[in-house]
Amino acid sequence: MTAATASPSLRILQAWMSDAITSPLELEEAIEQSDHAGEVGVGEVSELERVVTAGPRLSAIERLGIYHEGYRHRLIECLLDDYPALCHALGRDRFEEICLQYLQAWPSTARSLNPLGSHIAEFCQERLEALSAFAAALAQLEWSVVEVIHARSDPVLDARCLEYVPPNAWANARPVPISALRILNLTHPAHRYYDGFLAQQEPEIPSPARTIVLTYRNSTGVESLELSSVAERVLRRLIAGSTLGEALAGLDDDDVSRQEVMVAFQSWVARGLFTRLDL
Amino acid sequence: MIAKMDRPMHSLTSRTRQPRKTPRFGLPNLGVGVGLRTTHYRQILTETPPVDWFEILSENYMYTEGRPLDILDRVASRYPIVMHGVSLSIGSTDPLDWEYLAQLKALRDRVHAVWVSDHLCWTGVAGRNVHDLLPLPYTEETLRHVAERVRQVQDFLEAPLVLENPSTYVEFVESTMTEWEFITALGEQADCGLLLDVNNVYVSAYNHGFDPVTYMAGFPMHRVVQFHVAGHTHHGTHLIDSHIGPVSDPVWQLLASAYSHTAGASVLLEWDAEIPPWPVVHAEALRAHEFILPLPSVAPEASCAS
Repeated sequence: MTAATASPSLRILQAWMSDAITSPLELEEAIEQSDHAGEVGVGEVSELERVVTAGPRLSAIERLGIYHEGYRHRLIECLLDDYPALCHALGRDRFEEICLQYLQAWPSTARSLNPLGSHIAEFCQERLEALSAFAAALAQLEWSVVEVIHARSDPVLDARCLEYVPPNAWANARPVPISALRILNLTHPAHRYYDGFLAQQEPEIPSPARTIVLTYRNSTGVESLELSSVAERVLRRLIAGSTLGEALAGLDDDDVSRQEVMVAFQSWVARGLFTRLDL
Repeated sequence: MIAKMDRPMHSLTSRTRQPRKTPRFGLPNLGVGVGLRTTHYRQILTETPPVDWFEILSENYMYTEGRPLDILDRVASRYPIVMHGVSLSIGSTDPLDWEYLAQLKALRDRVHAVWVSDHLCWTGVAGRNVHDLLPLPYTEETLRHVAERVRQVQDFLEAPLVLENPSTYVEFVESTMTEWEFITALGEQADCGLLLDVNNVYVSAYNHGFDPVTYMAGFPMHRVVQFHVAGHTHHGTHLIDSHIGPVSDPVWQLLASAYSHTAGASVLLEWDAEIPPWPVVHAEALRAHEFILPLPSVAPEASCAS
C-alpha cells in the first residue's frame, strides 16, 4: 500500500466531514461533538462558515446537511434492496430505525455496497425484541438470496446424463453441487412469508417451527425449497465432497427415507443444483 | 481492448511529461450510449436494441462471480463497454487501494472496456466508506495530492484515467481556485482524460451561484473523452444530481455548447432512479443527436479555453 501523502489539513478536513456526514446524531450535534472539532476550528455550528461557505440560498449547515441526509437515504435504500420482505414485516419506519442503528454498529468499509447488509441477521437477533427470531430468520433468508445471486455461475449438469450412468457406478459417483446454493436452518418457515411477499400477498408472520430451506440460483432465477432433515444431511455431505454411496450411508436400501432421497436427488438434478457428476 | 498509450511505461511516471496532442487521447468517439441498469437487462439481451455503447458502474460487477457478471459478459459480447467507477476515491487521504485497482483492471480486461472513468472526489477516509462523491477543497495541496495519485493509477492501469467533474453541494473556505481552474491544472499535472458531466456543471452552478458558461469556457475541452447528461431534481433552494427524469433543456444546451469545442466525444445518458421502460430511456439518450450535430469544425487544441 502507498503511504498517505497529503498534509494533515486535508486529512483532518476529510475525517471531520466523514464524521459529520455519517453520524446518527442530528447534524448540529454531530458537528459540535466531532473528535476533530478543535482541529478544524469548528467547535459550534456558528463557526461552520470558517470551513464551509454559505451558498446563494442555503446556509453552510443546510449545505452540509444535504450530504448528511444523502448518506442515510442512500444506505437505507441499499439495505431495502436486499431486505424488502424484512421491511414489509417490520414496517418502513421501524426498518429505517433499525438500519440507522445497524449502520452505526456495522459501518461500511467496503468499496462496494454489495456486502453492506451481510450482518443484518445477527443484528436482528441481538437487537430486536418481539420480532427477533422471525426477523432474524427472514434476514438470513434474504441475505442467502443476495449471496446466491453473486455466487459463481457454474455450468449445470444435464439431467439426461444420468441415463448413461452404469448401475454399478452410482455408489462411487460424486455429484458436484453448484456454488450458488445455501442451506439454512431457520427458526421459522420464513421462506413462506418471503414467497407470499413476492407474490404481493399480505403474508402472516408464521409461527416458530424449525425449518430447513435450500436457496439456490439456476437459469430461471433464485428459488427456495424446503428440505427434510434427511435430505439436508445428504445434500450437506455432497457439498462436502462425498460420493453418493457415502452420502447415503446409514440409510437402509428399503428405508423409505432412502427412496425419498433418491427421488429428491433426481429433483435436485432437474433443478440444476449440480454442475457435474464425477465417476 | 483498452487503448494502450503510445509511449513506454517509464515515460508515464515522468513529472515532465507533455500533454497529449491527440484528441481524446486516441480513444474513439463511441457515439451516444446509455448507462446499463438491471431493470433493462432482459430487454437488452432479448432484443439487442441499436445502442452505440453501454457504460457500466464498475463496482456493480467487481464483487460478484454470479448473475451480474453473466449478464455483463453477454452485453459485452454485443456492445462496446466503458467502465465508470464510484469508489476509486482519488481525492482521499487514505492510501490508494491496490486490491481495488487490481480488480478494476481485471474487470476492464475481461469485458474489453474501452476506458475506465471515475470522479474527482473522495468517498471515504480512515477505512470508512461514505458511498458518496464528496467534494474537495481546491487548493495547491489538494492538487499535488490528487495529481500524484492519478499518475499512480494511470501507471497501474497502463492507460489514461478519465475523471469526471462532480456535482457538489458545499464549497470550502480554504479553496484558492475554481473547480475549472483546478481541473485544468490537474489535467496538465497528471495528463489524464476528462469526463465532462454537463448536468453536474448545471447543478453546481445553481448551488454555488456561478455561471455555467464561464465554467465551460475555462474547462480544458481538449481532454474531454466523454460527456454525461442526466436529469436533476429541483428543490427550490438547490438542485440535486438525482439522475431522475429527462434531461433539462438548459443541460442539453450546455452539451451543445461544450461539444462544439471538442473534436467530438462520446455522450452518455445516466438515468438511475425511477427508471422508466427501456424505450423511454433509449429515446431520451438519442435526443443527444439533436445537440451534437453538426460535427465540430474547430480543432481541439485551438479550442482549448484558458
